[in-house]
Amino acid sequence: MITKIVPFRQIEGRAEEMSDEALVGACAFSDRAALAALFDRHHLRVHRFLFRMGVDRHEIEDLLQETFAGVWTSAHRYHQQAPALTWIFGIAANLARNHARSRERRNHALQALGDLPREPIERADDAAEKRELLQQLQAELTRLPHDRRVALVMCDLEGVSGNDAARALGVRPGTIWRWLHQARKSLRAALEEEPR
Amino acid sequence: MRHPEPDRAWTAKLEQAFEQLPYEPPSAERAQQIRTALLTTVRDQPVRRTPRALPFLAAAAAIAAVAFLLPRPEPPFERGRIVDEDGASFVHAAGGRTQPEIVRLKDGTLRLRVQKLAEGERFIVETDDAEVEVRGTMFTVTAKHGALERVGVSEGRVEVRSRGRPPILVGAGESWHPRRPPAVVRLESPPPKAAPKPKAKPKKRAQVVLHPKPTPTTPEPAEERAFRDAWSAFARGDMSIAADLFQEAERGELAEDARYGRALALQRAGRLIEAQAEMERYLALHPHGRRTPEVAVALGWILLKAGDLESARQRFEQGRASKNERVRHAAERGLRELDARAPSP
Repeated sequence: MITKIVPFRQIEGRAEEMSDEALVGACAFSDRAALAALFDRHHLRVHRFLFRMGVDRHEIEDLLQETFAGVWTSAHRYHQQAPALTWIFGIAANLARNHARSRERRNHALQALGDLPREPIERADDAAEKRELLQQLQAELTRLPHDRRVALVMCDLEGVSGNDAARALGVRPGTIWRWLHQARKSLRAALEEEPR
Repeated sequence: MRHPEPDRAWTAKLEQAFEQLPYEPPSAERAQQIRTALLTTVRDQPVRRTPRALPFLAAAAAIAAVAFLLPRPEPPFERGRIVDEDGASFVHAAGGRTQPEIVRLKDGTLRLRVQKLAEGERFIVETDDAEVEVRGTMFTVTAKHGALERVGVSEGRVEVRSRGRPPILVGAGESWHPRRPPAVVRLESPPPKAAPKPKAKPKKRAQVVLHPKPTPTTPEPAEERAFRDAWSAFARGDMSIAADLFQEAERGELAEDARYGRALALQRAGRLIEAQAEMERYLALHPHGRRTPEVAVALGWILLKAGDLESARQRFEQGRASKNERVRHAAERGLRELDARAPSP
């Protein structure tokens, strides 16, 4: 049972004039124009979010499409528990986690065959210190558990409040703060360490 | 306990660090391609069902969010201009070649002007208990708590189909109200020997299809009603209710689609064991059905989750034979997932 009224299209309304929440509500009634509008508004942010979540750049576009397809199929479950974009980030985060698990399983399988794929390291001719710092950051991000990374990306980079992030991810606010604290601690050490 | 806000220096450093990562946003052209693929994919997850020989049920289940396959692409159209008179709660979905343009009205009053419809196009205003189909008109519709309260026509004609009542045509200058005898033309079959009505033939417009050639005494078949109600329940998210109603609708021409709908509703309700049984039953009864590859893939995912990898593989292989790209893609994803889980020698 829907417990909250989601505003629908108003007075000769066009999708461009509707709030994100109303667009999600319209998606629940199979309004593809609403889904298209959501995509137009937010695809760049979701793309960047997926990148920051460590999704391989060859897979980001697939997951981007899957995220918005997930918006379509899950729209009837959206009851404004969090702002719409935060809710969409939650969908993307789940997809990124599943993607990471699949990749890990794949890597384990390949490792067993002695064929572990290596991440290409792009080298520039100059700015060696910057490159080292970057590598440290990338290494630290890779080591960061998914949940902590989600909290860091959502709250510290995308500006989502802790409470909204908690609602979008279905956890308690205290859990988000704990993940955030742990993520910051890990990364701070990597970012502030002197490059060798 | 307050959310520990980061200091600005930290956030700036973090952002700067992330900016250094080799990130490349998608080009506008690439984004457009993804967008098109997305909208094509969700279009092939049909949200309403158009039974073959029962097009009026299509209107009833128009705005249901379900995962069906639409066999052909449909260019969208919007012929209605809608003015919200009093903060009405409604949603408007563009029509396609085999799909009416729909306005679903929950509460309030809308004033609508509908342009001339092309061949095959239809425009319908729906409430929970009725639908109003137009033939190129200007009219108002009022609903309260999902129930149709009033229809007033300024130009043209509309047909009002209200549950439990015979369909009624409402012409210019006339109005319809549920609680008083409408002073309008009542559709009957066969129509009385009336004078020829030149306007009665919309020519290029979609004919209003009434089932079965409406007479006030012709009852709606129970399975059709159950089928329509099942899709309404599905759209509301009442999956268990939808599953039960689909079971009631499993008769005659609707049987295959009802079985499919039931399997889907059970899956969405999280009743996976029953969903699995229903899907297997569907596949046994319809080895070459219209939904067979899609059901096979859905069953494959359930089996994969349950750990029956060999059976899952068989179902994904079955789904890979689909002519539908989305189903094939889903089947291939399933097979990749199985390969990723394959134990190392």
